[in-house]
Amino acid sequence: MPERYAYANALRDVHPVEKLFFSFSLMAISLISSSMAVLLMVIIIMAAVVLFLAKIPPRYYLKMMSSAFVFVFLGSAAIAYGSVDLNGAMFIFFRAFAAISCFYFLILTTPASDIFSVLRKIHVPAVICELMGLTYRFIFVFMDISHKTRTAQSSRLGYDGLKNSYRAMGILVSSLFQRMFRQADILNTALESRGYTGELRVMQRGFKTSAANIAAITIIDVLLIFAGTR
Amino acid sequence: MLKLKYINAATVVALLILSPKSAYAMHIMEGFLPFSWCAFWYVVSLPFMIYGVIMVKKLTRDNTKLKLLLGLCGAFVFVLSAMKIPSVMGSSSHPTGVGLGAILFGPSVMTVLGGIALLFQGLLLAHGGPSTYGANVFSMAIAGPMVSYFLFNLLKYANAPMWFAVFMASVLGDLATYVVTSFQLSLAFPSESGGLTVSFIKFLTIFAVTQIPIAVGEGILIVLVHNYLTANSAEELKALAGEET
Repeated sequence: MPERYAYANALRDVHPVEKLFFSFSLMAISLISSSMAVLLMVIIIMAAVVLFLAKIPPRYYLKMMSSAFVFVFLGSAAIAYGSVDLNGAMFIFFRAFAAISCFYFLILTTPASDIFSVLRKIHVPAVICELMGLTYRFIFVFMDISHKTRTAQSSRLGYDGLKNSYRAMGILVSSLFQRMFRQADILNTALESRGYTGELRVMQRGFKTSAANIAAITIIDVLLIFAGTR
Repeated sequence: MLKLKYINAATVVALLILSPKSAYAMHIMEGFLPFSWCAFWYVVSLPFMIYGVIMVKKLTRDNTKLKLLLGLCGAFVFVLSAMKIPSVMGSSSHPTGVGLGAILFGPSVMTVLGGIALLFQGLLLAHGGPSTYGANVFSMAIAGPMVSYFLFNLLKYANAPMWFAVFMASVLGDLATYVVTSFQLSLAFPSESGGLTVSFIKFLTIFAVTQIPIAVGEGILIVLVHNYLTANSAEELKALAGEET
């Protein structure tokens, strides 16, 4: 999971708003731009930032990019299929790749919890933020449970043959559903005993805004827009 | 022209070989829609999202436990969609969880939970992305669940056997998602010769290869899950249904 690097990369302490602004502005430029050069520049800039500033291991980045490559290739092939416009398909391919580079920069450098704090700031309803926080936490709990159950089932030949596989998976999903209810019960008891009244308040990590970063991002944006209009 | 034919043939072969291995539910990948269409689908999805949020707020106002439960349901939907359904071809594919979610939680709550699950699929699994989020929410968290929910209730009303209602709701919920996604793609990329209809049929045929087996596989799975649930956790199901209405 790319999330592992989000918590441990060299850009971890950069303000999440700056990272979001960088990622989304370049993404918007790639989606609007009609210049192939701009798309290539976005791909190169993002790769450079991820590899040299965030210091994500090149091997991992390459792995992510190559699996994205398969999807993007198939997607643009599907769009181009039956059409004569190969240049158009090439363009769609690079546009998607540029946007994906921007998105991967974000998920490799910014943990989901930092993104929530930004969502809270832009006044996404509190209920949604809380549900997201709970979902985030329990995704990993349930993944773990489902993984263990699956291992236990396969060690008893539960996934031997198609019929058994379906039966085993049906049991897995329904037992997960029951576990979910029990977890909610336990969590409710635990929280209520600590004075829970329907609101989960947690300390936010402090971030410093950096004028240099904002300036650098703005300059890159302006240069790309300028390059695109020429 | 010959070269083009060759490329087309290669494309079909590549689609057949590669796609079943990684047949994720129908996400439109990041960057595939032009800017204007991204914005359009955000605008279309927004009222449904707002309605869903209002419903969730109403449900959880004086029931703090239900709020926790809904948060956990979001995680459940995510984990379900990250599982692999065993399929006949020996490859695997992922369920959408659309049908089960819509039957259990109702379409408006499912819109919110599905939207949250989609967000995490982007952040944690790198599937979908921010620019196509609106379009994906519309196909997977709005259109799919609505079809599932209405079909399920219609069949129940018509006294169809329970397994049949669950199966059809799940299969057609998946298929609705796939049809809507194909439509979204054909709107953004109409064919130069023949326009919208031609490209719509084109996308439908290309995705049919992977999506129809996934839908049927998920249908069978959800029927099994629903059987186990009615046998073992009737009370929990009642609790969800009671709080829903």
